Amino acid sequence: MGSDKLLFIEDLHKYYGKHHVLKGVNLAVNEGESVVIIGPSGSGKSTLLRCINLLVKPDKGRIVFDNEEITTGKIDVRRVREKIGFVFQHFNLFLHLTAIENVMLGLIKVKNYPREKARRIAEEALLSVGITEELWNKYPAQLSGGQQQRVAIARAIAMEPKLLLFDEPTSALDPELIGEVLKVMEKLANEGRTMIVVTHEIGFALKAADRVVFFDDGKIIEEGSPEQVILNPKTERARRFLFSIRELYRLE
Amino acid sequence: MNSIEQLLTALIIIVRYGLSNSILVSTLAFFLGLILGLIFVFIEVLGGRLASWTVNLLVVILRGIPPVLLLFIIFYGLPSIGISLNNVVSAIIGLGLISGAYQSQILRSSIQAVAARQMEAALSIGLSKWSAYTSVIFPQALRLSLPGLVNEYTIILKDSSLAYAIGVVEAFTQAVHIAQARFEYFTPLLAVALLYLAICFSLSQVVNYIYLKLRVLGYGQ
Amino acid sequence: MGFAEEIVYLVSTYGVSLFNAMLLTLEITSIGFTLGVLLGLPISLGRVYGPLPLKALLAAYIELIRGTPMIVQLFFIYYALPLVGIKLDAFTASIIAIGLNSAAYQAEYFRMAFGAVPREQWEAALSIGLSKWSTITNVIIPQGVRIAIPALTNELIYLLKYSSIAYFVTVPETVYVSKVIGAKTLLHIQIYTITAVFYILVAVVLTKSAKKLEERVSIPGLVVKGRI
Ligand SMILES: Nc1ncnc2c1ncn2[C@@H]1O[C@H](COP(=O)(O)OP(=O)(O)OP(=O)(O)O)[C@@H](O)[C@H]1O
Ligand SMILES: [Mg+2]
Repeated sequence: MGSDKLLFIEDLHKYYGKHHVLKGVNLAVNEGESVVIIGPSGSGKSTLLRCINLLVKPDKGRIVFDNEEITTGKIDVRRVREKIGFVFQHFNLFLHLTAIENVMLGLIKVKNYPREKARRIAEEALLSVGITEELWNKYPAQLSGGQQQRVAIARAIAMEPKLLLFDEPTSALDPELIGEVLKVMEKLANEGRTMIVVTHEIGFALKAADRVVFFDDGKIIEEGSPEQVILNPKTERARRFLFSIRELYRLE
Repeated sequence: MNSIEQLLTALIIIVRYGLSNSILVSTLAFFLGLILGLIFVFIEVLGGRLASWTVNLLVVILRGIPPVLLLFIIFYGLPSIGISLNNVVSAIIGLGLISGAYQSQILRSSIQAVAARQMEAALSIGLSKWSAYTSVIFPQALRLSLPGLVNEYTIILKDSSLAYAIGVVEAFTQAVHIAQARFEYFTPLLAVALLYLAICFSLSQVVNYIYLKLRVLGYGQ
Repeated sequence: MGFAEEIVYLVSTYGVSLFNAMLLTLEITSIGFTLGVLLGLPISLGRVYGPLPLKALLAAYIELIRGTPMIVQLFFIYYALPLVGIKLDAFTASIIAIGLNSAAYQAEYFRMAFGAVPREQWEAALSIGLSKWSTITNVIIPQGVRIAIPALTNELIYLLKYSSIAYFVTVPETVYVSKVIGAKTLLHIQIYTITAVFYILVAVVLTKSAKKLEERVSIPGLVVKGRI
């Protein structure tokens, strides 16, 4: 493995009881690369992302992140998670904290920044995702879904992670709110951030991804450039799946 | 006598000469409370403004008053206005009144839960408000209330020990009598605690069973 | 004398001792409740997040307390503990009994409240690198405590009423003192009316203040489905 590889996953397996969910995943992600993972529901995409930031413990295989194997028992889980930002499908903002406090919590409690510094960084992060000052002191329930998700993205990037994971970040949003979130994500990709995005937004994949991975039944079935995998898939399963979502999203 | 023997004799004495009073008082108080609770809730749901205001006031009073105090009022106070009740009856009425307030709340919250889901459906098939309540809402609400009501019984049972204050010889009083006779409190108190525990534990199993049944029947949230 | 005059007579004659008794009732209640919070919160955390043996032990404690009358617990502490050399005065025994009792109930209220915090809140906290403990103190407790306010209010009012069990070990609190006055003057109904009004008024005030507090600390969108 080269030193430009930020993430390196080798033969990863995960069982839920008897249910074999990840069946030997191999994936490498370069520094600055944005990878889109597409694939049918229940194929294990979320499980893969959760394994990467150790919310779920894999049963077999290795994950090397930032030149360090993180699948051994000795690793400091919190330090790894601090370096990996996670954006959830349902935003998962802290319900008792305002938008800006949501972003500040990790800066204060994990990075031990003084309040003032944390606030400055949080403000910057919020502005960078288009959350302007009048929304900073609102509670999650007072924000639209798109705003909530952008705050969640700000919460992730404020920690200056080396890797950003997105798990279907737009699939809980009303159609008219999807665009504002995708725009932020495109910007992040263009800034050269390393990110792995699970999404069905093919338009986003074509525009912003360096590589697309088709995932099915716990394995990577096909990978390549966006044009190749999305517009010209080699495998029958990828073709069928892409056809069905193109129908669903009424793309060309 | 060794301590196991002491415990057993204490248990036997309490069961034979105290527990029946505990159960008598609690059971009658429970049913008095149920009747009152039903009346309260009927008035609250179907009665006029003034009637439900009165019921609310009564509930606030009964929920705010210490049970011992109410027992004193009934047992020592009422004779001065010409109502003399013996201690067992006083305990039943006192605990029953308080329980009535709590049971009305249990019933009311399940009525609200059922009404929220079923009222519109009941009205939409042309039932009057009255028959919607009596034939759709109340029967379901009663079932939904069952776990809360059984739990309420355990609360009354524990409170029945307070009837010690007006000399009702129930389980706890009996335990204290044994303790005073033996100059030793530990074993009689342990004995009576075990009895309460056994009954409360069994009833909590009943509550769990009812929850399970209700969920199967589709009453679960 | 009419009823009203008798009340005035009682208040003017025994006002000071009644007032002191009521203060004592409030004191027992508030100390008992505070003890209950201080013990109940850690008990609930241990019961939910602790190692298995601790969980079992705390669950047993809670069942034991909830399955027996408070007065039995008080008598244990006051009359049976001296057997093993722990001799407490009546007041101390009462607040300990009430505190230990309330701890079990409060632990259950906290446990249910923590359980009502969505699992996703945990994941979000862990994903930014917070430790388990940090997640509990910064996310779970602030949300859970708000959820628990109504149940804790009921508990406080419950303790206000049941602080009267101290009567049984002759602590001169409100019920005890009014019983003495009642026996002395034979004005039972009158004196008990005064004390009943005291208890009910305090309960009403507590309920109202708790509502205020709940509103003050309430957060839009942080609501629980179903009451605990
Ligand atoms: N905590 C869990 N316990 C047991 N089974 C689980 C758990 N989480 C996921 N699974 C199962 O693992 C399989 C893969 O789930 P996963 O959420 O990773 O799929 P996914 O590709 O993200 O699907 P979706 O598009 O629906 O989000 C599914 O069959 C799911 O039911
Ligand atoms: Mg998923």
